[in-house]
Amino acid sequence: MSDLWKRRQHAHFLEMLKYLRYVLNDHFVIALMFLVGGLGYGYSNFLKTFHTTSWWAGPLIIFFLVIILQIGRLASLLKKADPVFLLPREHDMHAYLKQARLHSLFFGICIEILGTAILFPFIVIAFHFSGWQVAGLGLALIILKFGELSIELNQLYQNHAFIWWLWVGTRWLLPICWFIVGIYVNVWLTVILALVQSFIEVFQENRQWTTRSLNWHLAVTIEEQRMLRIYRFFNLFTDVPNVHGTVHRRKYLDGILAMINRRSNNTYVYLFSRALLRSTVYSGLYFRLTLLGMLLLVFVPNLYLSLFLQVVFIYLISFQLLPLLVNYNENVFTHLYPIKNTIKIAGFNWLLARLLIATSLLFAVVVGISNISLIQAILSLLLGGVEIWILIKLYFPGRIKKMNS
Amino acid sequence: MVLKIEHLVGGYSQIPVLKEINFEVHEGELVGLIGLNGAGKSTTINHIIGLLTPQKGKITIDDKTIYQDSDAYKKQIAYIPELPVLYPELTLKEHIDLTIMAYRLDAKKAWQRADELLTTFRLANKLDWFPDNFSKGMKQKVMIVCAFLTEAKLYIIDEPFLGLDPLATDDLLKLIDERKSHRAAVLMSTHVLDTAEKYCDRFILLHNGKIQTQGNLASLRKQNPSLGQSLTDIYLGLAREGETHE
Repeated sequence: MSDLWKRRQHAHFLEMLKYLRYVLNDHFVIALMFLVGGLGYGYSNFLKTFHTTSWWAGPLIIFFLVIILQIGRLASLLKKADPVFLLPREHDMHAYLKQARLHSLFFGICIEILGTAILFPFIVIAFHFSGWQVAGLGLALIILKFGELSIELNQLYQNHAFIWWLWVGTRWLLPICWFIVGIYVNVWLTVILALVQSFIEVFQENRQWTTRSLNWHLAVTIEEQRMLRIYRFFNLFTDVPNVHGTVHRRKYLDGILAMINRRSNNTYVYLFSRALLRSTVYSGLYFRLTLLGMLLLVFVPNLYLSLFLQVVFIYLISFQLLPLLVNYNENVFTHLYPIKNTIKIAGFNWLLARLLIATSLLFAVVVGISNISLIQAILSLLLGGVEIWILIKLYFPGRIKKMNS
Repeated sequence: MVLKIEHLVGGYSQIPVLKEINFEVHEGELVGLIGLNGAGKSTTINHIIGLLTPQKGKITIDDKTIYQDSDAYKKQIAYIPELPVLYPELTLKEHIDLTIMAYRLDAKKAWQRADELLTTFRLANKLDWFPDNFSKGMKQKVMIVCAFLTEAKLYIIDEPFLGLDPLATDDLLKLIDERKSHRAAVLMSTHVLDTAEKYCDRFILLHNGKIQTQGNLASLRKQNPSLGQSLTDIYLGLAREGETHE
């Protein structure tokens, strides 16, 4: 069983690595640098202007600590076929799952340390904590995480449905209480309280599993959902075979779709526009990146940086939408239609141009309003227009040729 | 004459699956393409619809190859794949609209025809649904509706009967008959030999990428007098013979 875990973990690691390579492509790294830079800049500005007398500093820190605690679940790496193939080895599965818990804890420790490190300056300024005291909070987080993972492990051995009050109580209410104690009374008391809670949770799990059987169906479902969340994230950057997104009817958008003329030359516009609006893959990508861009632009007063960000975001959006052009290449009918490939590409460009113009317009409005400057808005729009023209007329034809070959 | 295949050598890679295939499908004729798994039926079909490029030989529809005028060539073909292929983001109604747009059909006339077909296959009340969520049989019906909408000259139908209910099977055969009477040519690959025997005008028996024999039932019986009377008997005999010759 420990062999099985090692093999699974290795395969999982390789798979994640494969997808991370796509996520951390050069475009995204640039956007990420800006995002981290922007957020870091905002955070340090916030700390400079922060007054220690603010009453909300404590609640905010406690809120963030508990949020950090929620990140990361028990990764059991179980597969759909396991109930069939591993059923005879059920007793040994507990050892396997304990290894899964350990692995998940290791991931949790990284998250807790990173989270605590980010909060470190805020806590020090707000409450004049020493480094050791902040480390105590981090330690409490790690201890609580272990208890949490044990509850999740125990859940796999239950036949009854999910108990929501146990979840809310152990993951939210109790940790909130302990951190109130930690922030306002004594950090080390929090560590002791977390130890007590975690010990009970681990003890309970250790006692219960021997008398119960593994709820295979539940375990596989939980793991599949967890993996799906990860795949969905990766799917924002690359094509994940297991996720094709979901399709929503979105009847309220039919009005927009009806505006497209039903000439034969618009066959692909008809097709692509529906994929764009109804598939979560493309609509999610477009709306998320547009919203993220708008949000960042609110916080960037500098004209040049703002223009640069707009250019980057329009490029990113266009680049992420490009795969839509080959989205239906697997569908044999797109090869059978008596329609020239040039008409298909023209239709795609027509649609892409309109989407990018809409984004550019939204950016310009945000820039105009947040800086109360009509000139900045017009400048943004002009630059956006030029960029879109260059992308579609000059840059993409070459890329599309490469994609099709 | 509609479809003509001459000296076709081809396949997915450099190693040819098809070796010197020659046959024709004439106007108003239903030809059954029959062979074991891996005999080359789907490869032949993929060559005809233009997904694969022949390594040697040529395929013409009304004496024109796909390279002379690809749009005109493609416009003649209606294709029903073995496994239904649908657009996940399109409703049933939109599948029909898309077909109308792609084949430049007259929208009013085509919809009239579509409504008839939808009623026949009991899909008329599902126009606003996503066919991608339908059962295999219902998806197959959507494929049939879209294919018969086009009033093409040549119908290529790949194993249509699996998953279809008996009523729909019968309706499909009637539709094929109706198209035949309008001088369309139909090439249909199938393993359901009883049905093929009853409805096909001629048969092409493929084995290991070669045409083992072709002709109507009478001529098949004459060529293989020892094998039996029904298409199933003759085919089983030939298939076993083919295997032992390897």
